[in-house]
Amino acid sequence: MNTLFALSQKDGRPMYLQIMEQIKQLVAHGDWQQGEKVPSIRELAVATRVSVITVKRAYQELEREGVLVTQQGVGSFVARNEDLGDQIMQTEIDKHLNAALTHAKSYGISAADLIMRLQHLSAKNEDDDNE
Amino acid sequence: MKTTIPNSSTTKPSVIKSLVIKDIQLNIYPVLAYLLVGLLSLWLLTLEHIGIFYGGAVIMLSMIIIVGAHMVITTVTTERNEHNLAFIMSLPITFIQYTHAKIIANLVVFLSFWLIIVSGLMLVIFTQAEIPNGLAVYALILMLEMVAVFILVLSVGIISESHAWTIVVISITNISLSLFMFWLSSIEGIKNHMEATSPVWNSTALIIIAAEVGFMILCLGLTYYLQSRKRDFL
Amino acid sequence: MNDKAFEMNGVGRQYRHFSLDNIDLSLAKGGIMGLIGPNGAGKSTIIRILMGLVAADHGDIKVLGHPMQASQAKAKADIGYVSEDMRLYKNATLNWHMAFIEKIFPNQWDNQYADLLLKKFDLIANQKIKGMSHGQRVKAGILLMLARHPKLLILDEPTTGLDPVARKEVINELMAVLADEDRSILFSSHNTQDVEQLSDQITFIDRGHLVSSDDKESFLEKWRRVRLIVNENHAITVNNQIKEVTKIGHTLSLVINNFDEHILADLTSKGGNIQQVDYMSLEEIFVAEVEAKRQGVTQ
Repeated sequence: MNTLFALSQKDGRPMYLQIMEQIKQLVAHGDWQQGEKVPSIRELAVATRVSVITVKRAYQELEREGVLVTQQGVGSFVARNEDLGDQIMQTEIDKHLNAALTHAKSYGISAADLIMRLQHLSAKNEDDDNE
Repeated sequence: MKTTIPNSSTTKPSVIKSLVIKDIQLNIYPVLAYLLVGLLSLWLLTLEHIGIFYGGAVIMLSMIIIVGAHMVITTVTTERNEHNLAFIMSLPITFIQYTHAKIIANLVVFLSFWLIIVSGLMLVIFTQAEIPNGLAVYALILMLEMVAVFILVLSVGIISESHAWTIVVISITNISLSLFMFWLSSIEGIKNHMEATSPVWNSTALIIIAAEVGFMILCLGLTYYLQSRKRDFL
Repeated sequence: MNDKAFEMNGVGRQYRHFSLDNIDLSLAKGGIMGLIGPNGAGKSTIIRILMGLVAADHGDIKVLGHPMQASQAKAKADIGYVSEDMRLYKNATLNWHMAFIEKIFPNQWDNQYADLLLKKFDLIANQKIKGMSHGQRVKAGILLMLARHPKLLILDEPTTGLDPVARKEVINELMAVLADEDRSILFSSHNTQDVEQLSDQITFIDRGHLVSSDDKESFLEKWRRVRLIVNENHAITVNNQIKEVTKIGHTLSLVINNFDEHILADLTSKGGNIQQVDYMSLEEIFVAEVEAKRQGVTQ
């Protein structure tokens, strides 16, 4: 199981955020199916060599975001939500896009300009891929 | 995973036993070597030449001293120096139990060694025609002095927890051994009967022996008392 | 039934040149606590007091429900202790030590697990201790402790002096202990990375005093480093929350405790242009806490 989680202390973000992101990726890509039982907090802590309290926090946040559902005394499960995978992907992408918008704004670049930059970069990436 | 059956009343005596066995195990080879030399020296006592007789006596006494010093130094002071003590004290024992284990291990080894040598010595005295049986009294008092000295060294080692102090006491008692032998052989009640054909257990002899035994008990008692007052075991 | 792995209340101990003062510390069962402090801060003293090896001048100590030093033998039956300055018998083999421990803990010793650990730690059972490298000796000591499945592990600098591979091997096995929510770990370390990664609770010690003790996530959430650009007439100084102000040209770097969003608004109103807000590493937090305490800045 630990091979599914590559956590790094050099990554600037707190551990619990890294765990959350990797769980969301598992759900988004269908590795963890909706309704499926996920490892207990303790199991995951031991497997990833991270403190229980950090995993607990990650699970709590994921519950708040509607990704996980916890039943007292039974365990935690991936939420039963058809569109969960898509929703996660969308939220993650939106995060990056919002950051780009904020950055652009601080440099005085409009949203329209930003879209042009995006298309330009996309074309360039395709050229690089084809080489 | 095995289930733990916490039962301190059954763990207590067996921990002491394991510690005693450990101390004996870790020192068995040198002690056997000393014993061999000691037995050899007893054989020397049976030979004709007076020089060899004295040589044998010196070697025999030395072996007794050495086995005592070896045991105290390796089981008491070195254990502390080499930081083995933390390993032992992390086991489920109290400090008094640790003291107990040390005293038992040392006494068992030393007294076993001593008994073998003393029995051999008495055998030599009573079977060799050239050696007056009256010497047995002097010999026994001397042998008991060595037990008393050993217990003193053990006590100093345990109480002082100091390698240096233990060595100092060993050295002083070694030097005073010859003084003791002189003193003992100059006492009227002993001197007059050293060459007798059979051993004379007069009041002088018995008083000295009682004093020696009393000293041993005093040392051990003091050791237990002072150890029980210690608050820090490390 | 006691749900604490250990409790220390008002514990103090006076030495000639050092004193441990008023330590209130406890750990819930199933948790892992990391003890961080500079050399000579008192970590080893606290650990020795918990082990009953050193007496406290005042205060109560209970370990696994047993009062120390009174019931130390009972407590130690379920405690596994490894200390950086502890040594095994150098002329004996690891096998000998394993047999020795098995005799003392016949009901707890797990031969299968011991053999497994030999492989995982890459140790040779019939090698004499004196022939082992430092790292191998440390692992041997840890093996002897782990193979009897103690309920409480007390580790004084368990990974100090270990190469990265050995460190990983040890951490893996230590974390495996926590799969059982009845087992707990206390470890002191210089290595703030290990502590940050593994601990549920973190305690900072400095000069014999408890600087702070809290769960790890709370620590990490409370502190931030904020970088901002200021003009000449800014009103930003050290206060209750701003623990440190470093000026590099027009940029200020602030270390902030008890962080919340209001601070950012406050800083902006005082003439700052927020550039970046970062979490701080445990090491940075530790240094900041100690410096604050030493300077007597109130929290």
